[in-house]
Amino acid sequence: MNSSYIWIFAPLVLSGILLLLRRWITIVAIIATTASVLLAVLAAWLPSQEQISLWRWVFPFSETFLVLGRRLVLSSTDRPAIIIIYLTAALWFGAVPLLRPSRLFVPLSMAIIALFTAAIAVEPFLFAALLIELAVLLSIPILAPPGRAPGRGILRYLTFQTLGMPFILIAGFLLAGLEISPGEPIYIAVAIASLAIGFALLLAVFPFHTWIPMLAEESHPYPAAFIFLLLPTGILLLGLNFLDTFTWLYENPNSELLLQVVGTVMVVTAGIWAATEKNIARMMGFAVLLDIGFSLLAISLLIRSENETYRILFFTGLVPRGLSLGVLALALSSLIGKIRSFDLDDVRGLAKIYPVNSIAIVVAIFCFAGLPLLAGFPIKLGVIEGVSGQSLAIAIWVILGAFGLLIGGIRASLAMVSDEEETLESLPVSRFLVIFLVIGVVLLFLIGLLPNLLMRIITGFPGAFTLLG
Amino acid sequence: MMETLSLPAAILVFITGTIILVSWDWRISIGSLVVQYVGVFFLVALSWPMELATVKLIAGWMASAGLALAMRNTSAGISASDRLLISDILFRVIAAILTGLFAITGGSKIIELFPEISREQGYGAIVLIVLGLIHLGLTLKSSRVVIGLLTVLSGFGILYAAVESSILIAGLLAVITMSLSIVGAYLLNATTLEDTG
Repeated sequence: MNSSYIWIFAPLVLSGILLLLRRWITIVAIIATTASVLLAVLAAWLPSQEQISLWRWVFPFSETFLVLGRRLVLSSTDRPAIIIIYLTAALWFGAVPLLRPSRLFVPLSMAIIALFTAAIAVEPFLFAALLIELAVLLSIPILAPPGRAPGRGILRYLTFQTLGMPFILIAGFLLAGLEISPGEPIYIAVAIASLAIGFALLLAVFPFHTWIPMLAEESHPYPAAFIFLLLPTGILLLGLNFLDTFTWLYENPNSELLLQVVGTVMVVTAGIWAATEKNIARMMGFAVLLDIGFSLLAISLLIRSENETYRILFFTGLVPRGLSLGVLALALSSLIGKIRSFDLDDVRGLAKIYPVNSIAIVVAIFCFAGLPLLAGFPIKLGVIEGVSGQSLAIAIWVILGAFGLLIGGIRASLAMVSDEEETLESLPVSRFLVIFLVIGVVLLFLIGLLPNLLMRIITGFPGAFTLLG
Repeated sequence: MMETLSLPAAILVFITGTIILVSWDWRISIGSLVVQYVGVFFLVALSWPMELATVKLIAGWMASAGLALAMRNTSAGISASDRLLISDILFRVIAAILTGLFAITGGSKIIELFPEISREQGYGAIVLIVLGLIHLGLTLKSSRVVIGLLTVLSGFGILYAAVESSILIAGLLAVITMSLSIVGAYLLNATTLEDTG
């Protein structure tokens, strides 16, 4: 028995089986949800030791899997990440029968999840960039489903993600050389430039950000939100691994400055665009960009102060992001076929006919913006407080950026409650879906009101924060 | 043997890269891509054992074949909109010549950064990366985007082969090359496919 068999190869095999069964989308969703829950439970329950006893049988158990001269290691410290990944997958797959995205969504997402787990496990960690690229390639059919002409957003997504990977690998090689012997300034400059360009391409940093709102508009919101959640998280973790491995980079004051500037630019630009945006799906894209900016700021604070709080803040911030994205995607997806488009002009009067969906959309956007009482608020407040300790000007810009998204949310809510020129047809919404949305909105408020509870759960994971520890 | 062939290989990738940039007929583009992978193979073989370098060649050829099949399925012929204007061709040729000149000057800089790579490998890598990027900047067609990406990845492959000879890397890069071609084929045919399972 090997941990890689359980959390990498088994889901990969399962994704192949699900691909064959894709005609029966409900069955596929049920199998995938059950399997994901089972894998999360196994990660929580399976003891991390050399032998595992099951009733009368004793199985040898290893955390290391050798593949072509390299290692896949899923140790006990990786278990919290595995639990979070598979629970997120289970939640996402659970609502598939209600929304009916592309039939390829569940099977390919299962494979993507397995590849992301492999990216956490692979040693040396640099190879994770290749596995993430494979996950990106697998995500194309779910973002541009069969029967629809692929848009420009998907081509940009493919281009930027594919171009980012070589930069990361080259940067990794150069930085490894610098660890052994500090080189000439030109060598250092090229290494940092490669790293910066690579992560800028992968994390949709301005000016490489355009694919996120374009994809949000072109694709089904549900698979798009799934990729928006998984991809930046995986890449941010890869970035943390870089800082953890190359102490030279970690101790360089320019790293913190660069992250701070990039994070601020992302928050401000996303805020400005969100404030003037006329399409709610695109607004979701800008909300994701704003959140990535906040994550970068949290990492910059972590580097500067080496304070445990910011590390916890970074990881805790992933929960409201996932929850808000889930609620927003669920609410938007359930409206497909009921409204013409997600343009503000087409959602006039929506709140009167679909009140729960409308509330869920607005609450999720406000949560991204960090409105008080919502789950995003404690995280955003913590980051802004940390940034203000270093530069008041940057803190003001960051607040303005968040305010921009807030304006976008207000404009969306005003459009939804305004009187419509032509009455929208009232079509039934699944009761289960309404329950899902209500639970999601309640959770967003609950986490906002009791943030310590979430932080306690997150910090309670043993070895959850080995990165930069 | 390989050292003797390295300069012709670098020139070959420059010529094929330029043809891909200026051609509007997919048959010529894919044909050039196939030949380009031969040049890439010789340049990679300077750093990797022959059998490992062959993986790159086979993966490249398979990717080209996949794309060719998809293009054959979708295109009944070359439409008027596919054809490039003389001014457009001229612009692309000038861009390719400038790329070649840049590679000659930039190639020596690359060698300073990566002492493991030879001058010819530096030329070949820079030529492919820059020509691929120019190609990506000048197109909105999914097939052309994939060909551009394959060209960039080939250039990167030459560069990275000199510093990393892991079998896993060779395997993963080959898988990415072929997957990219499958994605390209999928995007070309996505409109005609049905989401029925």
